[in-house]
Amino acid sequence: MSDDIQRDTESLSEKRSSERRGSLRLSAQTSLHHLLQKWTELPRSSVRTGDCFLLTTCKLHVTELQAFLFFQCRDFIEEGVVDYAKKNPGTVVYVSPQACNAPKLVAEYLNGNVREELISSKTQQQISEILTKLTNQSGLDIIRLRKPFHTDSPSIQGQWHPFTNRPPSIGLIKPPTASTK
Amino acid sequence: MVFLTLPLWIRNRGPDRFWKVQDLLKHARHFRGRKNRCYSLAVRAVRRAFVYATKSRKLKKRNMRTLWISRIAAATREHGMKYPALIHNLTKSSVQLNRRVISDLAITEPRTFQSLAKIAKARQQEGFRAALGDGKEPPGVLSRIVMLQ
Repeated sequence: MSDDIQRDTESLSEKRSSERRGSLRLSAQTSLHHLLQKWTELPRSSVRTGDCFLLTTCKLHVTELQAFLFFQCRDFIEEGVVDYAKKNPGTVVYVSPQACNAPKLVAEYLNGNVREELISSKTQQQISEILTKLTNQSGLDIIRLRKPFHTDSPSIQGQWHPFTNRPPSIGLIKPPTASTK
Repeated sequence: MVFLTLPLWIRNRGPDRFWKVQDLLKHARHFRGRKNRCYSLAVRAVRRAFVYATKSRKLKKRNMRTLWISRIAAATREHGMKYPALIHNLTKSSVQLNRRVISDLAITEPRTFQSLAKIAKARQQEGFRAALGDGKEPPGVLSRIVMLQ
């Protein structure tokens, strides 16, 4: 099953790269149209072995000026994502085109935290660095640690209270002897 | 005159003011009064808050140390000693515990703290004997410990 998915993604990536190379010779309008067609046909590639999840969203409509920036993100999706998914079999990778303002990397961790990173004006190298950083993180909140230690049982001998070191005011209580009875 | 028609008089200001203001007000949301809502008041209040925060990083260390010392002093007086005597005799017996650890022991492990106080008291008595005695008595056990610098 995983082999089929990988073959599908590879064939898709080849098609996409050939399309792009071919489309550069055509006019700008038709090239974008081809790209838009390809992105809508993109299937969801998922390898379910679940340690943590990764979700990528990419923008659909591109103006000509911004085309270069979004192609960086798309280059990464063509080349980098499959390598990453092969190297990290414990993460589930989703690549989904959505109508949103900016392309993002969304990392969901096992403890429920979600981290989003914008990748709109980043090179492929930077995107892969961001990915490694997100994989190496645990999902804990990034806040100031009040103390660098924690115990569930802080006191072994019993916590101090005002009567720990005070001698008892009444003497030892003994059971009543036969004479008093 | 350049602005001859009404459309030319209208200025198009920057688009980000809302978010710049919110970035500052988020640091003021827990304040009291109008300085948690109004930008001009919040600017001054947030700047003061940040200045106090930077200055108090040094003060926090000082305050924590005085807190530990007062706690250790209270705990030693329960055992019949005073704080300077305890610290001096513990260092002479080469017990290199800092004030933070000793105060935590006094709170959570009272018997351990009692034994520390006993060590200090014994060393104190040996010191008194060495100073006031004739010299015929052998030196004490704890006096044999050499303090490493």
